[in-house]
Amino acid sequence: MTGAEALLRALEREGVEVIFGYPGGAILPVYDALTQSPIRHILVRHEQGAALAADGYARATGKVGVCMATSGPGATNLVTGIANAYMDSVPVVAITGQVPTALIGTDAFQEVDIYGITMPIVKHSFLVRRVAELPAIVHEAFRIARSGRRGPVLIDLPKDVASQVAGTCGEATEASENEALRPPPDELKRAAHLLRESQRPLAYVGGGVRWANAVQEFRAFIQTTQIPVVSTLMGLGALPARDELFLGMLGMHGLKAANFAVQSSDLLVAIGVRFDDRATGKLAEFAPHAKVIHLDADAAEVSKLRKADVPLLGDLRTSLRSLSLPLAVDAWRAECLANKAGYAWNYNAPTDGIYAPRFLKELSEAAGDETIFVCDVGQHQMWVAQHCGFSRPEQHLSSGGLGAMGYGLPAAIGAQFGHPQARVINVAGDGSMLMNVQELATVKRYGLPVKILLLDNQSLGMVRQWQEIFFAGRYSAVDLSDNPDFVRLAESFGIPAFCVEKKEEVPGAIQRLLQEPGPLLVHARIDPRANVWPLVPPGRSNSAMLEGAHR
Amino acid sequence: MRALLQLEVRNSEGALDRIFGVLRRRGYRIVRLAADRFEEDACFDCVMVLESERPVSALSGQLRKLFDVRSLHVSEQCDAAPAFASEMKRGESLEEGKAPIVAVRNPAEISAASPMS
Repeated sequence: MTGAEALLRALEREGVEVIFGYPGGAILPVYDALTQSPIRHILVRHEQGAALAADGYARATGKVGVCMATSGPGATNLVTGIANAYMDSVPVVAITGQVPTALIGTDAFQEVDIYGITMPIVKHSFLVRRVAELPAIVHEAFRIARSGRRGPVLIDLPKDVASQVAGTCGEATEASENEALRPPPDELKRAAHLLRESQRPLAYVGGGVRWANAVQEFRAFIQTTQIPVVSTLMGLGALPARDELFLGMLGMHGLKAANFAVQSSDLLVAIGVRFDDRATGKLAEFAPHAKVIHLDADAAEVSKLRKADVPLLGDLRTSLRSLSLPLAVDAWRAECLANKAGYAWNYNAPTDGIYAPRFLKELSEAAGDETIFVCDVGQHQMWVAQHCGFSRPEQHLSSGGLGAMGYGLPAAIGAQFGHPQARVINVAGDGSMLMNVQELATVKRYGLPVKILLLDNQSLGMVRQWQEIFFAGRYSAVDLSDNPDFVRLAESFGIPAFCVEKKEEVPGAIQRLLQEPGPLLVHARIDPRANVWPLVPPGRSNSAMLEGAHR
Repeated sequence: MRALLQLEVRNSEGALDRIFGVLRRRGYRIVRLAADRFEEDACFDCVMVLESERPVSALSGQLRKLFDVRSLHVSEQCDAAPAFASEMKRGESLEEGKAPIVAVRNPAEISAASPMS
């Protein structure tokens, strides 16, 4: 058995069924071994697509996503995807070929120090020096990726190690799975006391809940306490959007009822969140009257930006079960719900064109709970977060921390491989679409029924919006009016497509998006002047939400 | 803020790089530094004095979650620092009061960089 075969055997033992990758010189031994492996390899058309597809697969399934590339440019092309997984705590194992060990450090052909390059954006990394270590390294890499706060792990594999005969080299050293820490009973008591004393408690929920497999416990906590809920971008779906107690996303593009609730709350129960600047606005004025109970798996996040009055480190499920107490907060709840009703969105924008928030709301309602929405990054991403309703976190895939344009299409491909029967819709912008447009070839090659709703405002809309508001309308490098013909572009990849630009055309477009058995691209032209509202100016308090014209 | 950090670090590929990367990225400057190997080269003892405008508590959580960091002791009492040179195995070669600066290379890295070996 060679090192490459030992690698694949170890991946099989970890339950890997699919690898997203792109071959090249230094990884050739592994591609050779793949011909004899039950693991399915998906050829993407750019390594960034491989890393983002692995990310989408992981988010949609909860399993570890795996991507692979050769050394040098193959490895550097993975970097954005690895950073994306790191910022959003997604379990991914990235495997890179490396030049032979004797050539490492000699500036050999296609040599880069990917181990060094990725150090700040991985949970951990391995450079395999000895073939005998491979099984243990693979096992450890998976254990690290999926334990505690999830994240990406890199395995850099020199070509000579991959080619080396490894003998039988079968078994990994069994490392025990990390058992999640249990929060100390004293802290749980203090948290329960704060909760009972609070008049205006609010749950502030993030992506940590789903990765801790604590969605059920979170919902039971809300069901029992009956406290209102605001969510980060990553936390959407932890409580079904249709739940009365869900006030919406908070933060820079948060809904008014959500931001006002945070600002007037006296106790934040922060669950699997990291007080990100896009969520908090000006930190010093975030939830100014609130004490904080912070539940998280990562000790480094607690009190990193906002001091926790009670830190509850460790297993979220234990903490949530312990805090599930009936509370008498009827007046506060009524105030929040009145705000929610009072600030309800008006979907009747005065336009004959397509109003993106309404299109997305209607699409989401018609699509149902089994559809997975995968966003790119920009205005459309915020509209999806604001106006699509999710019933579970796995239904909404979005590049939150990194904000990587081009995420949507490859991540949708990954999600579709994870759930072949599910309807997967990539909501894209015209800027983002062209960042990984080559993956339309992957959609075609594998016959994936991925749907693409391309909201085209002929500009880099979010940047244009900021230039309009914060730079006195001095537009710089945001005009995309020379976009290609997206319908013909999709058709050239063998993917059916059509264009809509009037609001009367929206119901038909939704119907076709939901009924088309194969892939489809809907090119929806929207008003280039459309902005995302509300908007909290950067560095300002979340109370300072701007509003403008709806187009 | 100044703080004294004492770490036990597994001697794995680039472990010290990883630690120094965290220090730099999170906004902590190294004032003094000493490191030496022990346990038959399987580990490093690392002692450093850091300064930053940020609290050291924000750093210790980041360091503790590195897989190569086996233990971490943090003290904001930098008066302990004078003892630190003498604690190091190579301290005797240093001028009094100065921290040793030890060039650290993983044996595996050395062999990889030198095709002759």
